[in-house]
Formats: sequence, C-alpha cells, structure tokens
Amino acid sequence: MVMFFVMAMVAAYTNRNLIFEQRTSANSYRSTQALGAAEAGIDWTVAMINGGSIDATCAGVVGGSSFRARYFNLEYDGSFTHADAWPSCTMTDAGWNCGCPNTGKASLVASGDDAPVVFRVLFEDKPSKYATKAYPGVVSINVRGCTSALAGQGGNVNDVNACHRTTDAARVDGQANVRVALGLVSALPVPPVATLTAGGNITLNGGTVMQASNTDPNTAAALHAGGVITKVGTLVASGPPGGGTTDLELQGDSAMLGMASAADASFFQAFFGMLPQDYQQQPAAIGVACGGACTASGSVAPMLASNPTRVVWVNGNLDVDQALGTAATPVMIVVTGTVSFSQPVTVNGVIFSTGNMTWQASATGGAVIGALVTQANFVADGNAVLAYDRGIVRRIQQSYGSFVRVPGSWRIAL
Amino acid sequence: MLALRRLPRPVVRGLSIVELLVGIAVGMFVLAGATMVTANQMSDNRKLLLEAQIQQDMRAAMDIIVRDVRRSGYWSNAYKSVTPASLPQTNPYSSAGILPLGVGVALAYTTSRDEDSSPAHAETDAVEANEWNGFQLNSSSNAIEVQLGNGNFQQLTDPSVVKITQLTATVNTTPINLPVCAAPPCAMTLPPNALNAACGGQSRLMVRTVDLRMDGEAVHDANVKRSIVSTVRLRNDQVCQ
Repeated sequence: MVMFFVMAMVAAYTNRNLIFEQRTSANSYRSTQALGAAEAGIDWTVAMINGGSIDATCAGVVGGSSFRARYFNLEYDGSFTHADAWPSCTMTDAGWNCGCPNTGKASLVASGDDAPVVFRVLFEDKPSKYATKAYPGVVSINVRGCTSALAGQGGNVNDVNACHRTTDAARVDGQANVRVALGLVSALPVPPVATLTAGGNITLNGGTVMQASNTDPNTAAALHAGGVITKVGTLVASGPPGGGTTDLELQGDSAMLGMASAADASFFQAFFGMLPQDYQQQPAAIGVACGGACTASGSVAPMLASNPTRVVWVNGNLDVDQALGTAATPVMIVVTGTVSFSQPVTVNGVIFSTGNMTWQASATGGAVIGALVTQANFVADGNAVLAYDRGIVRRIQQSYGSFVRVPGSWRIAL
Repeated sequence: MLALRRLPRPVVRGLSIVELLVGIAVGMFVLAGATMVTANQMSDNRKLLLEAQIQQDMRAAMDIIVRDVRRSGYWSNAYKSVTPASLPQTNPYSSAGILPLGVGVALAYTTSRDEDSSPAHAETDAVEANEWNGFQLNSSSNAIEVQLGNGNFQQLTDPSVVKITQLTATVNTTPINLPVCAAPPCAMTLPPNALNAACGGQSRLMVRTVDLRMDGEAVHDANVKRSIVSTVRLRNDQVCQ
C-alpha cells in the first residue's frame, strides 16, 4: 500500500506540467479577453461619438448632450480639446454596463463576476507622442481593456486601482492598451460661398423684402445663382464692412447650373464630397421619413431633441414651421424634396435641398442664420432675413459629420 | 525414555523455504508490474514534456508573430492623412504582405518604430532600416526567424527543441470602395464628376486578414508533432488611391 501511494505521488508530481499548461492557457485567455475588451472599447467609442444625446449611463435620452458635445470642444483651428473624463464600461450578463461622467472616473455597476471585463476610454491631448499639438479634425483615444478590475479582491470594479481609474491598474490580471486616431469626415467639406445658393434661379416676388447679408470676408457673396436673380421685390444685400457691392450677387454661374441640371449627383458632391446614398448612410446621419411631407415641428425637431449634433436627412418635402438649432448647436439638414418656410421662425444652421425652396408670405419675419442651398430654384413670397454666419458654417464644417478610424493609427500603446 | 519423550519440541521461527520462495515470487510479480507502470509513466511523461515544450515554443512564436503582424503598417503620423487644409500625406509604411525574402516564405512589412527606438525620436515619415519587420522559416536550421531591421534575421524558435517543418501565411484582402476623397478648394470651379476624377475612381480601403499556419515536431522524437493555426486581422488597413 505504501508503495502504491508513493507511486501515485510520483505520478502526480511528474504531471505537474499539466498545471503549467492550464496556467498558460488561462493567461492566454485573459490576455485575449483584455485585447478584445480594448477593441470593443474603440468600436463603442466610434459608435458613441457619432450618436445622439446620452445620459450618465451612456444610454440615449431626449434633451441631453451628445457624447461628442460632452467630451470635445471645437477650437478655432478645427482641432478639439477634450474633457478630463474616462467613459468606461464593464461586461455584465445583460451586456455592457457603461458610465459617461462629465468629468473624472465613471461609477460602474458591479457585474457580480469575480473577474469582470472592463474597458476605459482615455482621450489623448495629441494624436501622437511627438505631435506638438492637437490636429484639426482628429481626436485620439487610448482604450485600456482589462479582464479583472481588481484581481483577487472580489472584482470590485470601482476600487481605486480598478481598470477605469487614473492609476495604472497594476493589479489587474490582463491588460491591453490600444491607441487609435479618429478622423472627421466632414458633414459639409465644401461650404457654400453665399448666404443663399441656388443651382437654378432666385426670384423675389413683388412686395417682398429680402435682407441677405454675408459679412464673412472669405466668401462675401449674398446670393449665388446658376441661373438668374429676378428682383421684383426688394433685395437689401450687405457684405463685409468696407467691402464693395459688386460681388454680393453672383448669377449666371454656368458651371454650377450645369451641375445642378445634370442627371448625376455632381451638385450634391460639390458640397458634400460624396454620393447622396453614401452621405445618407454615414454613421452620423439620421433619417426622417414622414411619407413625403415632413414638418419641422412634427418630424425634425423631435429628432433633433435626441440627436442635436447629427446630420438630419429628410426623405421628401419639408415644411419649416418651427425654429431649429441654436448658434451653439446649429442644424445640418439635407432634404431630398422641396423646402417651404411657412412660419416666422429662426433657423440656425445650413439647409440643403434638391428641390425648390419657397419662402411663403406667412414666413415674413423669419430668418435663417447660416446658409441655404438649393439645387433647384428659390422663390420668396414673403419678407426674409438671411444671414451668412461664418461661425455656424465653420462649426458644421469642422465638427459635424462622422468620425472614423484613421488607417495606420492603430497600435498597442506602451 | 519417559523423560526424553516429555521434552518440548523446538519452536520453529521464520519462514520456511517454500514460503520464502512464494513470497519472493509474488513480490517479483508486483515489482515487475510496478516497474512496468513506472516505465510507462516515465515514457508518457517524457512525451508529455516534449509536447509541452514544442507546444510552448510554437505558441510563443505564433503569439509574437500575431501581435507584431497585427500592428503592421502603423504610422505615428497617420493623423496627417486627415488634412482639411492641404494635401494629405500617405502612409509610408506597408502592412503585411508575402514577399520573397531570404530563405523560404516570409511575411514582410514595415512598421513605424520611431517612438519606441532608442533613443526615441519623432516620426521621420520614411522607412528606416530598423523598421523592416517580418518572419520567415529558415529551411536550413528549421527555425522561424524574425527580421529585426532590414535583412537581419534572428531565430525565434529553438532548433534544438523543435523542428519547424512548415510556416505558411495567406493574405486575404477585401477591398471596400471609399465614398470620400479629398475636397477640392472650390466647388464651383469644378466640372461634373471632378471629385471622382480626383480620386482616380479607385479610392479603396483594403481590409486584410492573414491566415497563419505553423507545423513542427520534436527534435528528439519525430512522432511528437504539433500544428498551430491562427488568423489575424490587420488593424491598419491600407488606403489605395
């Protein structure tokens, strides 16, 4: 019996390499989990930065600020500064449980797992180690993925040394830091040069007064038409201080008329740099379908309430009967039909339509601060105030659109 | 005579010769069985050790290959390809592809290591000697070699333990047409379809995966063979314009 016992012990001892194999497999498993969490964090961040309003748990809400607005601030040169906050998520049985704090660390709900999977998003000041400053149109993120918030201590995801905290998370089991740059595909890469741009004709009917101003010295045009500008009514055009009045009205632009009347989408591409179907399908665009007859009050405004900084794509005609946008959060609306201004309301932003634009008599007293672009004709039957706002147009150009991964920027951070 | 008869018989102690022989025989049988079990155990253990050894060696090599290939084509100035104001720069580093390098089939690629080199320095936007990377199977030494700098190879597996018989890398490419190209400075001066013309009509994102397979056997026992298969998605997609 003693001999058999000794032999059993010897056999167990000699098979200790099986334990080594098991441990190696566990290490590989957790390392892979950590990298998977970090990769998920990148995809999650891309989705969130192109999404709508969120609350403290990163869930969609009506009336809140978007992930992009919450964490990034547009600078004068088109670059972004960021908030000192670390959005984070932990894996639970019901999926990712996330926290999107305004500043600092997130407070995550314990998953109940002894070794929970966590990722934390850190916004970088510069796109690379040796870059001197933030770069226009680029935000850089560093996502840390961990397999255990705090190994061996009950998986307390909110401990001071947990994965999504400021410390180096030295006590987690597996850890992967992945850095990637996200570039902005602008929602308006080529802004219009005039307050009102029409591929066809611009007509001011009798009794109407249109005030069209463009005080931006870089563009300076008030009206720009591929066809002719007919002023039966009164046009009060103004340009930059000290500037002349000769270039305020540009008409007979045959190149633009050619694009506007062409069967292809070249007019659309000239402003947006891509085909309409691609533009419509970009992550930051949100569609409004209302049977061909949409209203600002019934369709667009509710959509903007939960998606304040996204591009609104309207399938059909749009009746602008409610104020839209603010100077800080302008609207970028693309309409595949006609646009009719029917109420004396103020719109802050840029509206593009493939069909005619009509300023009805009932809209007298209304205003558009930003720019209007129509591929067809513009007709004014009421008094209109149109003002080119460089700040609004620049904000849309430099901060609206879809953020995508920059090819070549992915690396495991040290 | 009576007194002699009453003498006690002497007490017999120990084993008889017969008992001893039987005991020894049984003991021999048990010992022979135990020896056989132990010998089998030792043999199995040796084989297990060899398997663990080559498995560990091959797995470590595959891990290194996967991790390095995954980040191929990294360019620390990649953000400069997003340029609203001027012409964008293109990535000087190339992601993994199969190139005829040295002996055998090799994966060759370039990756920016300026940030990690000693001394670390800013990105030069050019491929330097130490930024050439890759892996190959040296058919002479039957070892996998890693390229550290242009043309400098170093063994990654131990040829005294494991003999690598095969290393294959298959690159699978899925082209995705890009909807966007660089915006022209002034939209109104362009003829129709000028944007497409500027992109050559072929602006694409090349999404690639690499299927890796490694076969090896123990040097001391050719019957101990192992294979590792891995697929890695290259994270830095190539932009083709």
